[in-house]
Amino acid sequence: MKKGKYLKNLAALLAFILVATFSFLSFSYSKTYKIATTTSIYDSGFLDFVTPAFEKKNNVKFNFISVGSGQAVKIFRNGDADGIIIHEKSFLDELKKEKLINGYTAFVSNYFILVGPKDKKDLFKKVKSVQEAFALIRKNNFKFVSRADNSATYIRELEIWKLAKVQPNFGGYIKSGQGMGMSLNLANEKGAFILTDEATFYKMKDKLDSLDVVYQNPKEQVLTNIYYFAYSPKKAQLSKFAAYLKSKEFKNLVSSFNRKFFKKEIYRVVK
Amino acid sequence: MLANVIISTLVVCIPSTFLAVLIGVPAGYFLKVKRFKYRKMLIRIVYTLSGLPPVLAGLLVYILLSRKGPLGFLNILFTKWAMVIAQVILIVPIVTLYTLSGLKNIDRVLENLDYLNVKGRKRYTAIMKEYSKEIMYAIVLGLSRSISEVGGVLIVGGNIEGSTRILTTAIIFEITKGEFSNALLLGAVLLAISFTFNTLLQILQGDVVD
Repeated sequence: MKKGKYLKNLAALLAFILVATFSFLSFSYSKTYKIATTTSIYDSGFLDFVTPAFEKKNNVKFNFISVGSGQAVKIFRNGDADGIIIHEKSFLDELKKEKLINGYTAFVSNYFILVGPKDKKDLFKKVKSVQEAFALIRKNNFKFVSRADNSATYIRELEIWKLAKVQPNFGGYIKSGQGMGMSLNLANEKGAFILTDEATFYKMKDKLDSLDVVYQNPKEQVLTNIYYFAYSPKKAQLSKFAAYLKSKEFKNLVSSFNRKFFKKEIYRVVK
Repeated sequence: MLANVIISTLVVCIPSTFLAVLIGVPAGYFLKVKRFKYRKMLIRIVYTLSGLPPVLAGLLVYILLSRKGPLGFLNILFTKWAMVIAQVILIVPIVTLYTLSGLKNIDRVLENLDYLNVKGRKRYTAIMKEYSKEIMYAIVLGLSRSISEVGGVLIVGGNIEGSTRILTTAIIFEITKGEFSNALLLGAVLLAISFTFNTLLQILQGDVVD
């Protein structure tokens, strides 16, 4: 019977595919570390640019799970990741108190900036602090996109609203609940203001045609954005990576990353 | 890079479809043919689960597989295994439901087999031959669902480059970065793979449409 033959062939083919794929599934690197990371530093391509040199030299492999800082902490706390890269120090202090990490390494920084519609840029010329800029947005009831997602950027945004003595609940306040890139797209479409890290903004700038930097100030403490690496004490080998993040080799990679993608110094090595 | 994503997609979707068919087709047959207590209730549950939101399946599998969860000792969260599990949970009810509704006139077929005194393995082979087209539909349905699914596998896979990044999660990732043209390209690849699958299955089985 013809039909029977087809069925047999099909069964054989499926069996073969199954065996082949499952043997592939079981295949894994000798030493793989899962690192939960905040979206900004991963989506900018930074981590994928600076880690391969280390991976090669030490015969290890990093698997980055790129999520918001809040979720990254949760993943790490549950023991589902071996290391963590975030830019919210208070989270790390909590982890330290719980003895889930021994300490953390500050390795790279950039700045938070306020971006908004190009045509409203002039209004911010005389603004002297970021809280003043925020207050101005509130006063005019301009649109403002907030990530509202328990991310480090969102926590910083709330800090600034507090400094500005403003409750962020006005008509123009839009809660996106999404990552930095999507929220920037949203702000671009809606003609809204948004607090963002420099790296994500400049990486996407050619797609954000209606947005421009309306306020920035590297001297303001609240606008400094430092990325930290920490690891589980059970994975002591990761101390090597922490040391690497302080090495000259790493420093050189950071400058070549800046040159390649930004043509100016966006990521700065933390001493 | 793209090749890796494509391979990962196949490595996740084919086994999950295969397992789902392996579970779902017999389950559908069982529900159709056997009469037992709570049968109707079970069928209603299958109907409900066939519309299970992928993110909910993802969340459940996540909780199950997290190191703090009941199956945490397996240590397979953020691997392809976790993705396969999430997809199987999503596809089994669909395949079951399809089999359930596809086995038309099964009573008459069974009667004939009884009459001819066909028993044991031969009986099931005969049924499979009779309904080979329906089984093929079930496979196509399972594959389509698994290849287009994104919410669940994103949660339990973690979208790790070179490991758990598949076409759909890569599309989400490109959108996140605002790289819409890359996302579109990946979408085209996804469709092409789907087309290839369906063509292959049709060649193996004969045309799906009469």
